Amino acid sequence: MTTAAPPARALFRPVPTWRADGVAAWLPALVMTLLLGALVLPPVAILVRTSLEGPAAGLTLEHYRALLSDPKLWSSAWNSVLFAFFATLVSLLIGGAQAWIVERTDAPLRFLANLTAVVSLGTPYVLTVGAWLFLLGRAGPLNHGYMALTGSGEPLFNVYSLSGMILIEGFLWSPLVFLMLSATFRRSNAELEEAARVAGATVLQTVWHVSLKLARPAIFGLFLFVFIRNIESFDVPVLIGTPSRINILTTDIYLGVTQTPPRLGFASAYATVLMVIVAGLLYLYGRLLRHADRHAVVTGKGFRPRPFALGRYRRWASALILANVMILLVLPLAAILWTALSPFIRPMTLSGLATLTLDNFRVVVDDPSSFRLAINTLAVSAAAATACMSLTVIAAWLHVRRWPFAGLLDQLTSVPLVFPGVVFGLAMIQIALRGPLPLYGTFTLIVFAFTIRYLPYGMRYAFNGVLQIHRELEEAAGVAGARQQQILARIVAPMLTPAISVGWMFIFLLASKELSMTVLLAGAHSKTMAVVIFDQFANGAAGEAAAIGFLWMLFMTGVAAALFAVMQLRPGMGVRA
Amino acid sequence: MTIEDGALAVENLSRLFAVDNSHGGHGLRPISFTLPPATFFTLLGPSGCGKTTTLRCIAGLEHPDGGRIRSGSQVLFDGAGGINVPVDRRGFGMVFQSYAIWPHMSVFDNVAFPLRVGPARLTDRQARSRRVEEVLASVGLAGFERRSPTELSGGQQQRVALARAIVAKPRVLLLDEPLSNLDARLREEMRAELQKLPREHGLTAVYVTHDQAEALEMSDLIAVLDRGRLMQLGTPRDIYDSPANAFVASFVGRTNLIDVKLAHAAGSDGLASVHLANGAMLPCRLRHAPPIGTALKLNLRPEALSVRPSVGASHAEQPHLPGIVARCVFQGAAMRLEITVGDLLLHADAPVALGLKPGSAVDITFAPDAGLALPVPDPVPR
Repeated sequence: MTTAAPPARALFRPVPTWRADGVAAWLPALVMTLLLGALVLPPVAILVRTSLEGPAAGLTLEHYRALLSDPKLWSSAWNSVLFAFFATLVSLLIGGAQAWIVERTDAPLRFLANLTAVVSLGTPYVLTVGAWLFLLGRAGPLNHGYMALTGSGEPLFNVYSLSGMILIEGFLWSPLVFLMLSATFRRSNAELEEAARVAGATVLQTVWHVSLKLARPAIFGLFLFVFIRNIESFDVPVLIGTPSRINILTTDIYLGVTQTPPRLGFASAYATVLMVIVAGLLYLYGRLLRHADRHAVVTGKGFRPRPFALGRYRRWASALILANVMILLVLPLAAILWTALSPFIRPMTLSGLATLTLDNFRVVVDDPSSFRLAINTLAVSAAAATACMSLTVIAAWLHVRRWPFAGLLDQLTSVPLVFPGVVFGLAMIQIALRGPLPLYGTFTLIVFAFTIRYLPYGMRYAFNGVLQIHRELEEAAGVAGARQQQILARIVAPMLTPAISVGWMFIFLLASKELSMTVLLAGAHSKTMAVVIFDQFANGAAGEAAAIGFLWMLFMTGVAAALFAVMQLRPGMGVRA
Repeated sequence: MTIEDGALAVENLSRLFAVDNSHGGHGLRPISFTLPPATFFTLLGPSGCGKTTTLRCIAGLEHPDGGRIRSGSQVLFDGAGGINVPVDRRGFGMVFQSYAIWPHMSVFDNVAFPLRVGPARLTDRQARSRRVEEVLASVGLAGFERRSPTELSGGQQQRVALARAIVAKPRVLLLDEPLSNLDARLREEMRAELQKLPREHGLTAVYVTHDQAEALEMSDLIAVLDRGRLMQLGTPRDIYDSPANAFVASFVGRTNLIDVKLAHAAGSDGLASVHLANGAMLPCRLRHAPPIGTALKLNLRPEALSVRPSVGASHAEQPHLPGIVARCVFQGAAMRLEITVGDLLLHADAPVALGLKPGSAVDITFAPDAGLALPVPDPVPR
């Protein structure tokens, strides 16, 4: 008997496992594959189909022709790239510096950076964007102060510009960059840095030659990830770009859907093109990550990296942290509060203090619909997070443990990553309009949409969670006489509790502040908090928007703090892309 | 003894790996053995030799390509007959290399688990508690029931794993390198315990290790494996004194292996003689009868050699080799020597009192039946 040729059986039928035989072995993963496929594939199919339908019967490339011959497409695309690239740069600079100072140095006041990240995780983007628009706008302290000092009639900085959009989008993403890079720096092997110090390198040399070089794959990966999210971003472009006639790809699609009559075919063609671009970028990102993993020197074994002693640079590092807290937390909060307490939009002045009023809060609190709105938002987000985690835990387990036919599960759950929110909203509208059930404008539709959209996030948490469970823990249960469903219920699920709860809360937070998709899907009676705040800003009721937003922000900060507490207890469970 | 009498019988078990596997293994060529009840059986070999694969096939965690596995009269696996009892119905106990203690359960819950889910389920809550406490006491962990396993030391976790493996009174206890994660002192302590416990419970144990000292000390029966092939099956004494081939001789214990050619077949006294490369002739035993001129390896254990300072006289009555001491290592009770004999380097021990130093001329003598000429194993096709 020789081993010269590998046995052919692995090529033709799944390798038998100890877990099950026959039908019981292939049925679970097959059912899961069909279920996930039925969730994630129709949106793609319907977009492509709508984009190929003309007024007449049969398929046509008319919409693509119109799209590609439209000069606006190219200017929007160029704007998108400029906007995404520089906004990514801004958030990486701010978030990266914060992350390094917090994780790797002994600078005082480091906890403030974490606090900022927690609050921003719980705040709807539309609210923060509104606050910076006020701060950097004509009536804001920057321009108002400048004009008062110089007597000039022209503001110093026009926020309704591409640079305004870039700056605000950069601010918006910096807390998440901070959290993700913190995880990288926290896992880095301090001994590699210490070796450089022993060899005679200064702190700065060590950072430049060792720390940054080691983190380079992670930083590149993060850059591409944030760049993709910025290409897809909606809140800033629609709130700042649209009024100043700076269009980018996502706002073009939104306008195509919301104009009368809606140009669904044109928008679908547009969306398909954008989807292809994002898919290409994601492919690149995936290759980069795999590459980064293979060369990662960072290890996860239980050591605490020792921080750098910054010496006399400590106060500069603290100053950076304080500046960050001011820009990302204190000033926007003050602006929101000022707007909420003012009877009309006006500059922040001392004289204005006398006429502050609680009227806006009174209106919000007295309106019974505010309470219903909050409950609805929470219920929708919770339902989506629960559905998402239930599906992904089973899918991740089947996939990681290599059940027969489970090979596609990970890819299927990643499909929704290619949908920018607006694109996905558009697809779901069409599914609702064409489907047999009257789903259009209902919460059910939104729950469905959230569940599908956040499958990739749930999968990442569940997948990594299952990976961390040593195979022998399940085998030991098998030898002890447990059936597969008993192993799942008594060993896997309890051990996954931290991963499941972090994933659940992360999805819950994202869903509760989602705007780009919800704004298209929400009917008159199925609005979520982010949509209502957006509507009020758009209708000029900034005071009320600020008031309800402020209360919501307080509440959601509590949820975000709980998420953060669990993450701190379980260092392996950091925020992931 | 018939197959049916054995506590565990493995016949022609084979397992090929599809493509390359992460352990650098070579699959498992057909392997057979039968274990009488209450045997401590060890699968010994270097990493990638197939010992863990064999164990996992017995446990039912891996699917063999062919062969039969029986326990008593029950067939657990029969490749030709299409029988494969699933892992959770085999009624074995197993201790894993990582211990595989569930961190979300207390010590009690870990140990009680096989009594809650398995074929050996005990529905009576009190009987279950009694059994768990009894087993925990027998591994020296009485009173640890409510503890979380994460608070326990490595040695204590090991005992929990052991208690869990025997709580349901398994037919066979499987142990996958259970000592490899412990420090040296604890390993000594647990060796004795691991050997004692199956005996007390009348269990047949299958123990996987790459540590030959562990295997010699603990086992009733050892199977030496190399690259998926069974090299030798025997008692520790057999394996050490009469290794089947050069691989077994070098893997189990310290030894000298010298390239020789067979000169004369065994005579009436059972002794054959072999040529060294330099033409010198030495007597030795043979394990088999190869043709004259066959290349063999002469196995000479260091403790069989006696070394004394050279006096220039010949020792015609005893085989001897003249040499020069190349290196001395002081070991306390004895001096460990490396001696050059022509092109050869031999390992030997000598009393410290002889005062040997590097450069000393010595004579090495040994009993005529101390040497054993062994076949060189065939190269393995890759």
